[in-house]
Parts: sequence; structure tokens; C-alpha cells
Amino acid sequence: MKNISRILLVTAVVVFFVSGLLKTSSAQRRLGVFSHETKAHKDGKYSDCSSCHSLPTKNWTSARRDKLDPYPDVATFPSHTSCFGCHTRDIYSNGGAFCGTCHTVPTMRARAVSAFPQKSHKSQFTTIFPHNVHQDLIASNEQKTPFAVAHFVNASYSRPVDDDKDKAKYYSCAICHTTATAIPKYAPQTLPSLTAKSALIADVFDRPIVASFFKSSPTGHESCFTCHYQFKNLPKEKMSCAGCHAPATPYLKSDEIKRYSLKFDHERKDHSVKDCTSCHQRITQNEDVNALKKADVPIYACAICHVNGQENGENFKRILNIEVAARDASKDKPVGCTYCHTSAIGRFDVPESHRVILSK
Amino acid sequence: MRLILLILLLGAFVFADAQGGSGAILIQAKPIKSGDQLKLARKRFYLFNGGLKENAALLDRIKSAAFTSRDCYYTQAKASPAFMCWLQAENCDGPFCRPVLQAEIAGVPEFDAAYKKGLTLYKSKPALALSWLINNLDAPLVAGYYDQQRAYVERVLGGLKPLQTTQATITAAEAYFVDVPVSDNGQKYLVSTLIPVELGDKSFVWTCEVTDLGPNKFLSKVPLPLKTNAKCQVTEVKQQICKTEACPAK
Repeated sequence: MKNISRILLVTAVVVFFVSGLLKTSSAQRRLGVFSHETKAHKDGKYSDCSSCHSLPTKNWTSARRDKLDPYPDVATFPSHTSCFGCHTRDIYSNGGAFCGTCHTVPTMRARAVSAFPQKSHKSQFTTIFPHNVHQDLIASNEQKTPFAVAHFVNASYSRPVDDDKDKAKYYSCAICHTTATAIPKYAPQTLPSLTAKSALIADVFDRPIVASFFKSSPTGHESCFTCHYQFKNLPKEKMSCAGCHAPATPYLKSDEIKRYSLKFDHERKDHSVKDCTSCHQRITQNEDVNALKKADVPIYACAICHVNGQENGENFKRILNIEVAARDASKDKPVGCTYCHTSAIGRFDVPESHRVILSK
Repeated sequence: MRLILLILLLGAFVFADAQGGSGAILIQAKPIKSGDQLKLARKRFYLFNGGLKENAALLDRIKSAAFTSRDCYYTQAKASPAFMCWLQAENCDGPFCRPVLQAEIAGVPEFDAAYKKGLTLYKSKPALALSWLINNLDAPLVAGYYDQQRAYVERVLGGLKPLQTTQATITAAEAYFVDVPVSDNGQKYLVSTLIPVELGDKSFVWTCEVTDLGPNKFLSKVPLPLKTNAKCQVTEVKQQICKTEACPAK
């Protein structure tokens, strides 16, 4: 009888706890993603980012998840005092679900803090970057030392600045856009205004895609802080987080590179010796990278070397002529413009921009 | 007279796009000095509607605007002779031009002070103090010259809005305007450096008319003269001369 009572008691306790877990699992208890857009979070004293965020955060000297050398950064969430001004009661309700906003476990006893920023969460800000201003500021007068832009490849604070003391180096596109060291995620651009002429086919690459086909772009504070740490060297109206971060409809950040020509190799002979802006023509005019809608590299840039050239067995000098002619001659079974494009692009109609070049 | 020997070859090639209604202009800016080719690399160019005649007011403002040269700007900003020599060594407009090397810090008081400040701020991390040195320079020495150039451009524009701006490439000194509207009624455009290009102790603005944009042109060369002619004005702008201390040979 005594044993039965004990078993019943233990069972009751187990059922009690298990039922509690079934009702609200850890994931269920966790509140939604913190929103910067609620009235309480964007008005009054909280309209100032620094009311919660500090620059740098105290943990900046700690080892970084991205393996970069530590640098003064916003590397974690705001401190408890930022939240507890309004949310003291919330931490005692629903098993401490509120704590899960920043901590790995949504309980009052949570200690470990989630990665910052949380990449699985949608970004609530977009980055404002006036490309033209940055190009102007790295401009100089006539340069006395000949150099090719593509040869200066350094980025951010960790560059080895004095590895070759006798050779003048200049800030250039490569200060932010280095040759990739690993193949990034990539995909073809989409062509909503054109009609596909054939189904997707397997792509053939004369030159397999390697990392050096691609250039990197800054993704964190480290590149910006080289010149703008704690809002230095910015116009007065830009001297705050809002100078670079504008509220946006939440979106999932993607590091996928989308290209019209996935077969373009930046490091190929005759490409690598060109100035970046010989081809990236629209970026020189760009006041906001987010507003760049058309291809940064217009077909004119390609046409200079790849249209109407002498044949001499070197098809690449008139490859646009050849590819478009082949497409037009193959109405029953359209060919794919495969010199530059993968099937995802090459199977579409030849765009008017390409035909106009050939018609003159 | 060095300037007599300076030649600006500013060629404009026009790719016209009749069906698309847009084209592109390519400017080549390659001064020649004593047989050595120099280039107006990285210079910004501005594109306007209309030709020289239609933009007479703009040209008048270019002629009359007072320009502060680089050396005068930094002299007025009380930059040290060593700082100015560092700029002049590679003809830089400002410290964004090239990295400051560790070996250069001790010789330039501004760099030395900024480096030491960085060591304090960044917990004695020398690499960071060096790489982020620009953060700790006095603001007028960082972007002050750029800011005064922007103010100069605003004065010269006088409210006029350029259709586009673009920048010349580094090695080839070529600048592209793309998506330029094309019509068959003799549409004219004007391209200008607006910001004077310093050559020796004089400064010049190149302002050139592009007249042969048309629906049937694929490539139109506009060879530009050495001196002002009907299609291109080379304007020497007013500027104060500021002599700086002699710099040590490299």
C-alpha cells in the first residue's frame, strides 16, 4: 500500500511537470523577435539608438565567432538595464519567456547569450552606402607611381600595410572588394521581362567556377569603422547609427551573389588588368547601392572588346555577333548563348540592349 | 612653361541606342606632358542637358568662382609641412588616398598623434591603431578638402542639377555616362570636370559639348582640341598660390 502511494505520488509529480512542458515548450514560450518598430521602442527616449546600444560593447575584446581579430564593435545585445526599464515584470511571467529574446534558453535562469546578430532573424535595417562619395574620397590627383587597381587587394583593419615599403599603394575598389578566397553562394539573375526560348539544360564550363571569379563585399562593421568608428568623418546629420542604418521592412539577409554572367572570371587575362569601373559603369554614379536596379555592368562594357572584332580565329573578339547570329539561325532548337551565360540566362530571348549594339 | 606642354586629350565616343532611347558617352582624359602620358584618373565628370550656348551661365560661374587649391587648403588648415609632403609624395588629395605606413608615422606629427590616440582607445592594439588611424586625425585633415570641393561644386552649379555624374577610371582615365537619352533632333549634352584639375600651380576646368548623339550613331568620336574651341572650353580658374616647404627627395 505504501509502495503504491509512492508510485502514485511520483507519477503525479512526473505528469505535472511533463504536462507543463507539453503546454509550453521552450520554443513555444520564447517570445517573438524583438521589433524596433513598436511605438515604445522607437519613440521617446528610445528613439535614440544609444539609449540601448553601446559602441563598442563590453565584450569586444572577446574571441569573435567570425574569427576576425577582435576590434571595437557592437558585438552583443543591449544590457539588462535597457530592457528592465519597462520589462521587469515580464521576466517573471510565462517561465521567463521574455529572456529568450536575447538568451539561448527562454528561462529566468538563462545565462548564455545568443549570437549577435541572429542570422536566422529577419533584418530590420538596411545599410545606407553612398558609393559615389566613397569613390570620390579615395580619389587623388595625378598619381606618380603606376599601378593597376586590381593589384591592391586589402581590406579592413587587418591589412598588412607595410609588407612592401617601396611600393606605393592606393586605396581603391579593392579596399572593400577583395578577390574571394572561397566560392560564395551564387545564382543567376532572374529575367522577368524576357521569355525563355527553351528548357534549362546542363551547363558546360570551359573554365570551372573558382573562388577568384568573385569579389567580396563588406558585411560587418569592420570595413566601415576603418574610417567611421564612433561616427568619425561623417557629415553632422549622419553621426549616429541612423547615418548608416535605415529602418526597413524585415527581410532575410542573403549573401548569395546573383549574376547575369556566371562564367565571367575577374582574374582572366585581359579582365584582371582593367580598371574596375571600366565595366562597373553604373556604380560610379550611384548614391545608394540599394537603389541600383539595372545591371551595374551594361552591355556597352562588354561590347568594347567583344563586338565586331577581327575574326583571326579569336571568336571572343566578336562573340556577341557570333552568339546572337547562332541564336537567330536556330529557331527550331534555340542555342543557349553559352559563352557568357549559363542556361538559366542564355535560354531567354536576346535582350534588346544586345541587339542594339549589333545593329549599329 | 610646363602648362604649355600639357595636353588634354579628351575624346568622347558616343554609343547611341535609337530603339532603346538611350546611349552612352565615354570620356577619355589623358593629358600629355613632355611625351609622358598623364591621366586625369579618378576625376569626377558631370553631365548636363544642352550645349555650351545653353549652359553659358554655368560657364560664367566656372570662370568667376574662386578655387582653393590643395596646398592652400592644407596650409589654411595648419597642416604640418611633413603632412603636406606626405600628400605631395603621391599627389594625394587627402589621407584616404593610400595607407599610412608604420614607418611614416614618426615623421608626420599628425599621424603620430593619431596613432598614439588609437593605442589608448583600442587597448594597445598597434595594428588597429595604425589601420584605423584616419579616425583619430583632426577632421579638417581628413575630409575637409573634399568638403570644400563639394561646396565649390554647389556654388558653381548654382542650383543646376546635373543629369549624371561619373568618375574616370584609374589606369585608363576613362569615364562613362550610360543610359543617356538619345533623340534624333540634335540633342546636345555638356560634360564638365567642374572641379578644377590642378596642373602645376594652375588649375583648369574642361567643359565640352557633345553634339553628335543621334539614333543612327554607334560610335562618334569627338576629338577635343588643346585649347578652347567651338566645342570645348578649357578654363583656367582663379586661385591663390600657396608655396609650401620643400619636401625631401623620396
